[in-house]
Amino acid sequence: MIHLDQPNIADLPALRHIGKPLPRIDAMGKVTGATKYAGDYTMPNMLHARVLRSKYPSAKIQSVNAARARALPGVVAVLTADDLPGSQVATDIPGVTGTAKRAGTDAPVLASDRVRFMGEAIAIVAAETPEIAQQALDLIEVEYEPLPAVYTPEEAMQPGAPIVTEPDNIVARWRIVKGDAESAMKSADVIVERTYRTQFIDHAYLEPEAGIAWVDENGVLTIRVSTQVVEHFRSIAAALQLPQNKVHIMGAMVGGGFGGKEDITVELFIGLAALKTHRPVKMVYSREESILAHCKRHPFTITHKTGVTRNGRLLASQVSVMADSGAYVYLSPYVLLYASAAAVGPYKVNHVSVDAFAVATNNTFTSAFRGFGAAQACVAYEQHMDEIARALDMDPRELRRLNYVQAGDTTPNGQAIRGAVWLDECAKRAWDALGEMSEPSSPHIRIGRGLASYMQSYGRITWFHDTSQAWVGLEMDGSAVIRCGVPDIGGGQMNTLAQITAEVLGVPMDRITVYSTDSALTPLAGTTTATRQMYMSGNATYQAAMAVRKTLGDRASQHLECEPDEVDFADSTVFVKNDPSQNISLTALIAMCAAEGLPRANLSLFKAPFTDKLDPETGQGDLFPDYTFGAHAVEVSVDMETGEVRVLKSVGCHDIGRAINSAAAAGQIEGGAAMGLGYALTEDVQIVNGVTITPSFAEYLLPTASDIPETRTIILESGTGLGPFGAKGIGEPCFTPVAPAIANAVAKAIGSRVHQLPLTPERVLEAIDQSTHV
Amino acid sequence: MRDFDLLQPKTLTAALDALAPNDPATRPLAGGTDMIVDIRSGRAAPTALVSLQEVAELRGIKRENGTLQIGAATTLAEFLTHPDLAHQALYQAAYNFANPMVRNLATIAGNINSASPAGDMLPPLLVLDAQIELVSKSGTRLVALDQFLLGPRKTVRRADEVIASIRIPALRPQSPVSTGFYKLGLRQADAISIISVAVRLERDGDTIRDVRIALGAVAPRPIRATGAEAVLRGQPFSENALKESARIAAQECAPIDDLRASANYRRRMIQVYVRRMLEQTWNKTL
Repeated sequence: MIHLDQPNIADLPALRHIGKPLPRIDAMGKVTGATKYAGDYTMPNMLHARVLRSKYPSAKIQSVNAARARALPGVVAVLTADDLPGSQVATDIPGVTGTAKRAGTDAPVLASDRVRFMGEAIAIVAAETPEIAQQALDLIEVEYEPLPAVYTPEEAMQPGAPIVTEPDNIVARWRIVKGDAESAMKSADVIVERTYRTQFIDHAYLEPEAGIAWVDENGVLTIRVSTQVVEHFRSIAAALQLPQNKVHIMGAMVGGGFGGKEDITVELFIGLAALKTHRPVKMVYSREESILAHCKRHPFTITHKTGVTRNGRLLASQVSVMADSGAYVYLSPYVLLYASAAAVGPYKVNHVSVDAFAVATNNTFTSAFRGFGAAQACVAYEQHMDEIARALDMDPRELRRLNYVQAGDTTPNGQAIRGAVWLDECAKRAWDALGEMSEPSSPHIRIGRGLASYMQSYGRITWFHDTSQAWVGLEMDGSAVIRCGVPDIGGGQMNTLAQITAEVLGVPMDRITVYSTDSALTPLAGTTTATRQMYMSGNATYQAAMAVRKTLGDRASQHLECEPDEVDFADSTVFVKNDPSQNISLTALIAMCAAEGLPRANLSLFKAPFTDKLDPETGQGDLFPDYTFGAHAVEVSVDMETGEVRVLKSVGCHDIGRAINSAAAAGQIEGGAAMGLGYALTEDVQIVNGVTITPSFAEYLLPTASDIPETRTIILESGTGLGPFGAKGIGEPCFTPVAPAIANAVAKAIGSRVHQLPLTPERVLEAIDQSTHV
Repeated sequence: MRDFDLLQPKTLTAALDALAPNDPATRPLAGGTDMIVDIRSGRAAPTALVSLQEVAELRGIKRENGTLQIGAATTLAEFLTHPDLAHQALYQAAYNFANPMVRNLATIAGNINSASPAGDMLPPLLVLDAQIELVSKSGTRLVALDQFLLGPRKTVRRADEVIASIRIPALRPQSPVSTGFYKLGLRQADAISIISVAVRLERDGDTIRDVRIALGAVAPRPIRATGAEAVLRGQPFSENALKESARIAAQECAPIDDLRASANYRRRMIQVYVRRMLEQTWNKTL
């Protein structure tokens, strides 16, 4: 049941398909179970592969002896670093669209002399059955010599700390300097300084990492894999020492990504095994393996020092940021940059200084996760806004309203904010939708409400020079085909392209077929990351469909004896706008164009704004194409004797520019609310001295249906986004404000604050103790 | 997952025959919600499993001379719909047990036999003075649950025995009795207890005639808080008396720090929830 409001406050023109909650083209396959995921594919003569993983978080590998494993009947190959000498995989830029790379951003495909986290891959077994492969793992003898290790960024930055990443464990550093924060701080009436901490969390997608690889009849290494990035074929080619055109990634519907399938997962293991055994090789991670060995969300420690006037104007902000990058670099530099750029949130502050470090440790590596650092930044800045309001004895919503950025203001990195900025509208509507305050069910229960606002980018960093391509064509019978390399990770990415094409070409949704996620056969569309596919591939599809429409429209205008701009397309008919009785069927028009050799298809490339890198000293420069703005409000109950928290009400209100499919957008927002609730209250990958002590879903606690209240969604449409029809991205942004809204509601209820997520009952009770003892 | 033989006897006699060699590697299998997980993870490596799922004698709930006899293979889901299980504590424990899918498979005997310190059904059964009926080829014995449980995953059951039933003595109808159970977890379903508390309280006017308190997840096995019971038994009801009892209960338990909570927090929650459950059961007898 969707609770969706979609008030048309900007008075946008009505469209035929865009904005409607149409049934998604992928819905039937999913509800009937017909949809195939990567792990559902099998091939004749297929082998099953498993990975041997390090038992130590930091150790020298003295020797690997696989003789007994190789001798086990049914084992076809045991592969170690010796089978791929010196091979490294680039970890820092998915899709290899840039050239800059810091030393030490590569990771070994298989560890040879050294392991840096518990769970690092050492060997691969390919066997006739998964059971034999598993059994063989136990027969591989690895001699380790444990080495000193570091488990927190603070330790890792100490002089003399064990080195995880050369030369000094500092994986990335960003500085953003705007104005003169130090001087401006002196003129503040009140200075508020607080530190906020977040935890490791797991993506916990329904579908763990999976894939199957084989060498095809042309000698092309072909990999069917669950991935957000088909462009990894380039890194795979480099690591396996193959030409790029000899690696072919075929995607499948992805059972959840959230950033966890942005990096390479199983591809190199099964690719190498397929090359060595000349047989198809399949690998599916168990849940435990997924929790142990794929990337986690970065824990952050963020300290805000903010100077404000007595009447609530933010004057100066000094922010220090520390992120745990884990054992390998992966996307830490960019996650850190997102956190740095978002550090002060959607507020106008003229004097800002941000100093940010990502530091290597012997923990599981961290990388992309929905929100990509900007979410952790919001956990800090939105809690901090409530703390400033408290210090000023001011309503936190009023403090926000006074300081929200406006269109035309600049971000801390000096980028001008374009388009509508409806922060106040979103906050007000989300708050009002909470309705009447709930009554406490007993004397030890208190009720609290909290809100968080945010601004968050959609589209990749503009110096990545991002592009996407799509092909749209009409068949002779008036049906349409879209070819676009977009991986659909469950957000309705393919449906979005169909709905755009339906609008532009007047073809019904059920007459559109989308081919996607193939690095060789569909035009490359870039990664399904960074809330970019609707914006990038949506625009590429829109451009391609518009080009087809232009050709057909021009020909139709001759036939209908009108001007080209008077022609419209709907319901498989092409007609004169003001006189629909003057028309031609789409099929007749297509036949006419075909007879004359006019193209009925178009391949289009959409190019995001391209900029140069930020100034390395001041962080000044353009960084993102555009931003989404919104707010989330919640009501919670807290048991003052036990610290137990229940979320009673939850409302997300976001300006998404224009909804392409309002039901899909509401689905994203509801999912973001559920994921944010887990982040705030229960989810915590606990890594103690390098060992994950929450190895399964019995210890790693996702919220259940009983924990999640119904979420109300309010979609506002300013029409000012850079996507097709003025749309903005919402996939990541809707998650971002949820956890800080919950933290603010809990703080309001108990009169003090827990500065560390998740807000476990025990931590909440400690905070209650502190507030009552003061 | 290691291979094992799966035997599916249709009668209790056949099941006992299969277990008769008294081999610890031959294990009875009920719902399998613990056992299969343990086998998959390597914590258990039985060579044979004797499934009790098709043994009709082990199913069903009946009342005999006032004693409630719960068949060992009764699932937790069945607890939620059976009119004879109106004991609030048992119902609440079953209601909060794991999730609906697990409740459809997991059995009462399985939960008892697993003997987890956090086993949800154990505290209510302790306050109800449950007895465990153990049968083998060599006979039948009745063991009080309090004696049955030895420690984490340790019980007095021999490898050739199966739990046939759980027996709960009749409540004395002339005296108002109420029971209650609370489980504190980190989420609302599918959570392992941080602590759990069960209380059975018998009231006589303004006096607490009898009270039993059991605590889960705060000792190597669920325990009775006998000191906390003693200070209330036969005493007039008062807020202070409940507080004192709760304070003693917190001293009687021996919790540990783990990934869910610290020992200190657990102790404190015992104090809160013993008091709350005493209050709640007292009020329900009004």
